[in-house]
Amino acid sequence: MDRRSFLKLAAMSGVAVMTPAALTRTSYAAARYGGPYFILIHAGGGWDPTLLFDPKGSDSPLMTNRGFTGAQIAQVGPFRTPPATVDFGAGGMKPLDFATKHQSRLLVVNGIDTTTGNHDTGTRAVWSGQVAEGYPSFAAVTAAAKTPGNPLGFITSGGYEATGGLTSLTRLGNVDQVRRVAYPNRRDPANAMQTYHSEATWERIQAAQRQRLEALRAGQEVPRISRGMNALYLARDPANDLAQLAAALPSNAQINAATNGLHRQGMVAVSGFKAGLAVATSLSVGGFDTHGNHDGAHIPALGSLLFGIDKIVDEINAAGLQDKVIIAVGSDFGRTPAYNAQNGKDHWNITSMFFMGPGIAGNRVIGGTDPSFKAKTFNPATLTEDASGTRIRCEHIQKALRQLAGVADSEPARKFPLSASTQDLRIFTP
Amino acid sequence: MRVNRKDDALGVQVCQRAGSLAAGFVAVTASLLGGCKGDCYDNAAFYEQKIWTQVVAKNCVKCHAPEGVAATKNAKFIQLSQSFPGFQEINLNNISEIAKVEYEGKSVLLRKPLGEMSHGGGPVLSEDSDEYKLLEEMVKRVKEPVTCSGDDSTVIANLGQLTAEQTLRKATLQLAGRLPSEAELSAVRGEDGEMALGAAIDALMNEETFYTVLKEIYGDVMLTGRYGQYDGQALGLLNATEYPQRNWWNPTNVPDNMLTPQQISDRKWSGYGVAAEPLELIAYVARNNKPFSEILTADYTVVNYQSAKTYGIDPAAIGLTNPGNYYEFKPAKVSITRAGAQIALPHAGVLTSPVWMNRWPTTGTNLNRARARMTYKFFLATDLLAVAERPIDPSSVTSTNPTRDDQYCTSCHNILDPMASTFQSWAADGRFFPMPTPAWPLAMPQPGFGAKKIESVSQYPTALSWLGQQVTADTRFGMSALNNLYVGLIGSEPLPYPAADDPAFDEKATAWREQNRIMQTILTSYTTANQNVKALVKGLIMSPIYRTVSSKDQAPGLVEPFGTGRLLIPEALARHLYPTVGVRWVRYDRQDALPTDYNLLYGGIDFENVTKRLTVPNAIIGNVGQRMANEISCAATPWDFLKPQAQRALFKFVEPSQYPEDENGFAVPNAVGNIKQTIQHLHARLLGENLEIGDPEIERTYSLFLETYRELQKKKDQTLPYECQGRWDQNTGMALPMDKIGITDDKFYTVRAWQAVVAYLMLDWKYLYE
Repeated sequence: MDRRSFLKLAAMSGVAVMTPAALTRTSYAAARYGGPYFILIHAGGGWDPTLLFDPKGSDSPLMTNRGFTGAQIAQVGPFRTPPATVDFGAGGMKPLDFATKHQSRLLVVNGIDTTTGNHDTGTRAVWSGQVAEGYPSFAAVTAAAKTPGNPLGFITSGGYEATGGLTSLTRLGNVDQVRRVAYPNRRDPANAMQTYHSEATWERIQAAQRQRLEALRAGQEVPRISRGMNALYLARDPANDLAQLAAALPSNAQINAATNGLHRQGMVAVSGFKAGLAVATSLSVGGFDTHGNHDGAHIPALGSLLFGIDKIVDEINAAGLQDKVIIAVGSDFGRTPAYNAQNGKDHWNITSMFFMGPGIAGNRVIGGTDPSFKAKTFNPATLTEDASGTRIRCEHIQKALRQLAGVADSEPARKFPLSASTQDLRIFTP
Repeated sequence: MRVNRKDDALGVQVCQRAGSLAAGFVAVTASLLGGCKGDCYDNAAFYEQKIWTQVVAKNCVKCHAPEGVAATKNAKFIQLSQSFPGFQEINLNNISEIAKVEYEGKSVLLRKPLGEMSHGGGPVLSEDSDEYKLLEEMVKRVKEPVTCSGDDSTVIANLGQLTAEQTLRKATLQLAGRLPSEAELSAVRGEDGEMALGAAIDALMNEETFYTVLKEIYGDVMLTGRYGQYDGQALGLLNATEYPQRNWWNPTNVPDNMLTPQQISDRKWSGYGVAAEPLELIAYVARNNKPFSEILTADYTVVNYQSAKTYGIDPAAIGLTNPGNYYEFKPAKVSITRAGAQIALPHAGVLTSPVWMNRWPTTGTNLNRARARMTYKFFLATDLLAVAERPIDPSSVTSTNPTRDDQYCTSCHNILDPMASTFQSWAADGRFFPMPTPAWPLAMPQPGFGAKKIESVSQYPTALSWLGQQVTADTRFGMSALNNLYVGLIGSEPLPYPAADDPAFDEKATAWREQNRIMQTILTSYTTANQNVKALVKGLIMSPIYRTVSSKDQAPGLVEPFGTGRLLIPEALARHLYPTVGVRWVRYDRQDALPTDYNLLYGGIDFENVTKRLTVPNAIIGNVGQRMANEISCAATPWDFLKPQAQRALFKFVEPSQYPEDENGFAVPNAVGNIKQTIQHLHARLLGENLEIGDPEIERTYSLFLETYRELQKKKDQTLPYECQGRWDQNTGMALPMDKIGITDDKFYTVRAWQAVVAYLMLDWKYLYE
């Protein structure tokens, strides 16, 4: 099928390529995608930024935290964190240690107004920039824009997975089984000599199937049926080099040897990048919706989250991709600045995010909150505190991310535009 | 009563009130409704297409929504947004009531928009505006309702539908996991085919696989399968003191590694009984043709032999006499032991089952709102999150009880919290406490549903029974059941009503009306059938939604509600294999590979971390299908050839010794005829295609066979891979006795050619999507 036909088909399917882009499908298949890559990490349930990089002490107006006073808050360059005395769990990493280790690359944005206290809505707002339903994740927009028609561009193990029909979604699950299905004609995936059909026959079967599917598609005007046929056709595109992905994947044994769940997800993500197939991945960990026993449950969960991210950075470095992978970390929203009767904290629309990677000026904190954990307002041009300025919102973050990725003017991004009134905040570069 | 009639001479529809022509009315509608040209508008259609879209959505709903300024000032005129299912009907009822209220001889519906009677929003319409004239017409219609007759679909006539025979094949595979018999097919081929099809579908819904499918559909909705991930998992949800027989199968409390096989089996099926309780209750209600409302109103639960013992119930006393009949469930009433006393649980169908309660737990601040939200979502077709997605700013709240007092919260919490209070006697772990500890917060409202409240505190412990009655009496309950079945059988969500500002509103609204007309008809048949859920299934399968396969000369948007185009879920595809190719795809323990090893890779869910099925195939799904086709064609081909021809599923008209060409390349006519006849049969069996022998698709498949044969014949390669030889009983996985082994080589080069054909057909869209 020629490129024009392919794009027409894709445009009609639920996994559409949006437009000719820098990488055509043909060149994508031949050259592989070379970056930048994106890892989006979602802390499910609504995390507490006042235990991360926007700390409030026990002497804050609402006694936001019990474990330390304002005077005990630690400082690493521009970053403020809970003091080293706060125990972030045996398998955890302290924000202080994380900031110290990654100071030069770390950008923290505090005081982001998600405008919601609703889990689904907040997750959607943080990763798509829109409160309303139907908007795709930044990962889907970027995967579709960077590698049109690539069915492995967006790999996920949780978080916000909406694609808006821009691209397909791949969950890898059991990687040993992925390896098995990567070579569907091999009786033994490890032995290229033992096949069910000769290579010629297998190619003949697939070619006949493509012809048959094209014949079925011809004249099909029922949208649901047409979309299904087109999606199956694209999923079987010979350019889908699943074998290359499988070769790059760690084994189940290697994955299981990692003690941190987020780290395990990251190992698969990085292998997708190494294979030159994945563009963006969404990873997720839970345990942050602590309406009761907040300190006992939430603090170790944050420690585990930071430990996992730290290990993912190690994986990225080991793969030689340190200059190509951008990490974005966020959550549904924040948590209330006061404890409830069950020693928990409830939903709060103000949150933080943090970022690392190429194109991001590190060693910075922007945005902020007042002692009662309400968002401050900032001058859109200078990002300095300004009583008549604006709150930083999710659409600001998304706009900046799209610009950072170089997809702001792509057709997928134009199909799902951010509000025209969204100011252009210089979040990633001062 | 006013009627509409079409004046063929004029080509316009003349609207008539009480038998007399109303000239003034015609004048108004001439400008607003095109002089009544075209469609007849009954009151419901008039509200939906004129009042909602042109007046209310643009001028009223911002303040008169439940969370709007007008509502906070106790306005009686309340209009729901399109996020609420059935919003048109609820809104029409409300606006009709308001229209009837008059002040000095004029409806308040016509006074308030002009700014009269201290309208809080001031004047919003002028008396000479088109919008105001529509309101005037609405008021007239309330006094003299307009009705229309006939199905005025403009789309369905241009759709190609499956025949009765084709529909039966599709439904039989989907609902019964088998192919229809020749007798069943014959019955639907006659003139009364549609009637026979209905009867055949009725019969299919008495087969056990149908109840499995129904449980799968509601399993995807309620996600209670989270507690069936390993043997005995659900037993851990039961309090050992309250259920002293919880571990009846291990009376001496021996460690796991010392359990006997019988004990392990009893644990497994006890756990299954508890884990599957809500789904088995749904199946029980359906199996016994009870009103579907009983899934929420039943004052009993259902148990199998083993879970009866877990609950301390004598199985024999409730008719369970066969311990090996693990899937036989009977009604039972459960009591718990507390402080030496027996406390009968106030059952309310699935709502009070341990797994439902634990899957959707309460917390100290969530206060049963998750349970209430899921009740709305699962059983009232209402997603309150969609209602509540607009921007809010909790950090600006000053109230100490914002969910009660603050406008940004109350729109949902006024709906949610009274229902949450009906769950107050059920703790986070699903235990029943007639008097909750700690006490139910006074800040929460009385238990209730909609405008109804439970007034007596003494009724609070049985509030869920009351709730079940209220929810199932709501018209949205039937709609929710239809929606859930729609997703399970059709593979997508029903079309939502479009937002008023949607650029493609007209086309989407027309498509929605096409869908709604069918769904309302199905709901009527459901009501007529005493709320038997099978009427919903049958209605969907008999409808153009299920049966549409082609369209001609219509805007795609209008055809959007019709046809099915979703990849089969792993469970359904696994069920297709045996009846079509005669073997299952199994893993080491003989369980189906698709819903186990390949479940998540093939887009399935695990009910906990992955809760939404993938409906669009990706590269991995594509490859899983290929692996399946290759492994199965390898196993099925020799296995089928080992059988006598008459008993074969696949190769009824050919033998491996029949090759298409001799060594000189000349066709062997008899063999070619048999080969093509076999291909014709395979297309019918695997894909449901009844093709003429000269059909291009038969030729395409024959070409694949022939080219593969030629390739092998040219190489003189007669070796058949060991796995693809006839050495195993594919029903058991066991090695065949020596005297039964066959097809150990491919000396005529045809076995692998047939493998290629079978794999090719198993990769087909019709095979994977049917």
